[in-house]
Amino acid sequence: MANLAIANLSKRKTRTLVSILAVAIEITLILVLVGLTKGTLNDVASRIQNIGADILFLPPGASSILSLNNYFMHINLKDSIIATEGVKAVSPVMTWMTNKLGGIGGNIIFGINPKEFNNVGGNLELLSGKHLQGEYDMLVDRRLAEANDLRLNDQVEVLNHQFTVVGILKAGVGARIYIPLTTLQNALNEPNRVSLFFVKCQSPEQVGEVASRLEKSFPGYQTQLSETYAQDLAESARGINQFISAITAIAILVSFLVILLAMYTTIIERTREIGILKALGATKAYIVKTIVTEAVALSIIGILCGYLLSFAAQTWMSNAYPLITIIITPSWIILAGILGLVSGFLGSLYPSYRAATLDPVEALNYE
Amino acid sequence: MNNILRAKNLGKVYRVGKIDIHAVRGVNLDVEKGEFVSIVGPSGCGKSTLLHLMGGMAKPTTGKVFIEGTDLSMISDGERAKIRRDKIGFVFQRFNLFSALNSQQNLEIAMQICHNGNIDHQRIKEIMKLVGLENKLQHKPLELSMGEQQRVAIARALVNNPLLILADEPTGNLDSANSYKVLYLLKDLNRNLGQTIVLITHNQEASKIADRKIEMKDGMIISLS
Repeated sequence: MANLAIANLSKRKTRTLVSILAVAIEITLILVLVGLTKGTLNDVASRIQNIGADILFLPPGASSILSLNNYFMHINLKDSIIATEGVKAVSPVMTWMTNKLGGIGGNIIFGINPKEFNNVGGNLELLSGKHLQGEYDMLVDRRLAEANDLRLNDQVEVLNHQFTVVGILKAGVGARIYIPLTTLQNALNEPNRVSLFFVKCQSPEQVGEVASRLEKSFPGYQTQLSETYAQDLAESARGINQFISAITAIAILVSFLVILLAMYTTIIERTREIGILKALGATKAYIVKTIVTEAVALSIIGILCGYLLSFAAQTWMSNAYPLITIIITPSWIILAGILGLVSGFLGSLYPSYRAATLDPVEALNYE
Repeated sequence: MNNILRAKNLGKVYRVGKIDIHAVRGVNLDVEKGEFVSIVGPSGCGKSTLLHLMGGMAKPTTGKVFIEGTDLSMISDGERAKIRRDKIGFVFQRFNLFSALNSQQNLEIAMQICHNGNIDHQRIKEIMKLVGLENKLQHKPLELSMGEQQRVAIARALVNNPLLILADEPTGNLDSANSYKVLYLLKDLNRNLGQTIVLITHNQEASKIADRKIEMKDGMIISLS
């Protein structure tokens, strides 16, 4: 049976290649899309967690996705927060999204007071240059610098001001761009306003209690634990997950239809062969198995090609767009493979049923 | 039991549009073990339809077919398939080999179907030797002459050691030299191995190779010899 399936695959090369390509594209679409989304969310979450703060204190109605926030709080809240029992340090941060310097939808800028930022744990590690000192100094991380070919003392225009790159940071902590807090406040015409406070607790065991105290003391304001930020961010991005589900469903449907069409065409082409199998005494189950084996073989080759194509796409995108992170996880590799197999299997069911129920004499006389 | 095949008042009616075509009418026929029977008649006289009915490939409109006493009309499609794979070997005019497979693989498929996936390679070699093609195991049908293709088809029909071979115009696509070889191969199988064979042909000369000749016309048997 396997011989017949393999021989038929190699005999009808164009049909085989198109079917394999369809499954491969299904797999690639799923893995790259999911990898891109997960990669971006993971990257954002890990960068926030790497700051080292325990709690993010956010204004009422703010999103966990910091770049989406348009809400500001008065900087005076800092004094009340730091007075809360269990709080060790507070760093006010203003965030702003710029469409400069690449990235998906732009790059987030953190306006910070370097000393306060370091006090909450966010030791920004300089690879070269110096920390923020002047009003229009800017720090960028290594990935952003490489992606934009930025060097120390280069000028970058943001918010109608020329900033000088004074330091290149190790990537992976907070934002990719840092400027002084007051500069960003003034540029946005929002003096004394901030987007969020990073809070450091006196001990890690107290984080939950401190967050509760803050929410009690500041009704309506939100606290976000750094430890669960990745999970909360993923939940906030529910729309993205629905989008992924929709694209995945479409990819599966297309692959299912291509396999269905390919196998249906092959049944028409091979009607006489099915008649021969029936003359030889093949049961309906045997014929169904023969067709399904062929479809599954097509799907397996397509899945393997899809994996290769996905890793090739990952490598290419990482080189072409250095700020993009694509994570292809083993669990999604397995899931995409299962989805590819299921779509191939389902696509072969109707053609195999049709083949199995063909009249043997009519099938043998088919021209 | 010596009676292998019995057709009793067998009839087959096809409906084409509003017209009923009586392809086979009231055929009564017995084939004994070890017999070589030819059924001869002009094209369209119902010979192939009769063969399909006898082989359990088609269901009769009237009458019954018995293979070793089993009434084919009383059993399911699956059981009829089992009778075909265990007891009958078909040889067709157009050979009906799998073009993507070589000779050995064509025989393997028949063996797999019959023996639940098990293949006896020695048996395949022996049968291919029997039909004089032991050196053509790896050849695909298109790499063989027409006569050789038909001999592979006969080997495939024989590979599961069937009770009965039903050969439908096996020389219809062959030149006279190859026809002669194929007919005498069938004759040898009958004479040396006691293989029961029913040969369908429109060729009166070819029919003479059989021990017994049955003539058909308009769906009916008109003479038995």
